[in-house]
Amino acid sequence: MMVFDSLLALIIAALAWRCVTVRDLFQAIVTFIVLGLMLALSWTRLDAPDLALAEAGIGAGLLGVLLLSTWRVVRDAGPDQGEGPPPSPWVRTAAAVGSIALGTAFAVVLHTVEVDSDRAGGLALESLGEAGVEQPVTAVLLNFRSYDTLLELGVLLMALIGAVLLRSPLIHRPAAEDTGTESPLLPVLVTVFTPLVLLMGTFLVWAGAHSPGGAFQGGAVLAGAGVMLVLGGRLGGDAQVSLLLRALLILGVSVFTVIGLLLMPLEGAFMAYPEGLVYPLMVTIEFSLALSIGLTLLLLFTGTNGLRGAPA
Amino acid sequence: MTHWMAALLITAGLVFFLAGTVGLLRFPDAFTRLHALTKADNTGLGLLAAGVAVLALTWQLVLLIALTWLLAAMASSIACHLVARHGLHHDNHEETRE
Repeated sequence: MMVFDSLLALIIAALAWRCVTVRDLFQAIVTFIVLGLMLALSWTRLDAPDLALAEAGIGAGLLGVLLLSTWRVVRDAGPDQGEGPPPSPWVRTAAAVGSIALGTAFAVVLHTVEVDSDRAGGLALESLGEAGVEQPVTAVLLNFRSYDTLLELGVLLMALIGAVLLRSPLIHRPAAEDTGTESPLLPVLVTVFTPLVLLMGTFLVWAGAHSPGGAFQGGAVLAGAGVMLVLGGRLGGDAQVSLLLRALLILGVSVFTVIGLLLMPLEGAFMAYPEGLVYPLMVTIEFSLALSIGLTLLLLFTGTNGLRGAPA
Repeated sequence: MTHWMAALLITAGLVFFLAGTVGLLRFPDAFTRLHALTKADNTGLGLLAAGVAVLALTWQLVLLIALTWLLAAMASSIACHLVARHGLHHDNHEETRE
């Protein structure tokens, strides 16, 4: 496996280099997607399947889709808007030196960090029994450091609000000709795969309690099903955002906060869960998070306020 | 015995992948490249999946591998069709404009 790992590391380095040096924007995006897949593979080799799933789903999958739709808008905007004058050699040198310095600093600092099994990681594994779920990653995300996860959800929501505010000229409106809706095979693809992808997303969320998976990975897969529906012409962006959609977007943050607050008198601390109820509470939180994450990512893709079913 | 069978199937699958990749790199246009890629890769994946299935310990795992192969084959065939269709449409468009 040594050969395989070395080869993988070399491929990742080569892809990263090509991704930043290649002149053509489209090639850079495709290289970036392949880089994401290779990174997912390397996370699997490092025994971190949760990270591998997140990288493949969000890093390679959804980010790739977002970059490609942005590329389309930039290309259609014409050469005047697409590329500005190249930055001066000074700027480029400064950027290169800065990046190398930062990377070296990280490498030096991380190298000197002593792995202390009494610290957070070991502590989390030891107290896994109190977490209510068997999967250490989910226990850490939703129980031991639930503050961080709640704030991450807030950041995601803010990102969507920011994107909606800035969106006006940069919307990708999939037209019939570029999504290939006239192809007889596309409805087959959408009809067969959407239920399966939805099932897989739901399974990933549910599986998060005892095996790799969880709200972020499952949410990303649910968003993927949405992207497929949009590209297949079954779902479209809408300027109006319905009340239901608003509710679903904030569902994760609200459920997380409300459960944390409601149980405060009982447990004496924000986001502390009573022993017998930990599992059902975690599953409830996880599913609401996944719904909000999936919907947020989908709206980032459509670049619209709301969604509507396509006219039949 | 099963190990040899698996090794044989997986090696055969890899040969198809290699052929598909060579085709992708050497063929002159998008359509022939798609042809090389999807045909060879679907067969290669099938052989690879069969090889892994021989090694699987439970029949559930075999079913799962079969399902994976089926879905991958479907998705890649339809993706190939869509890319080819786009290419055809695009080429005609270019010609009528000139």
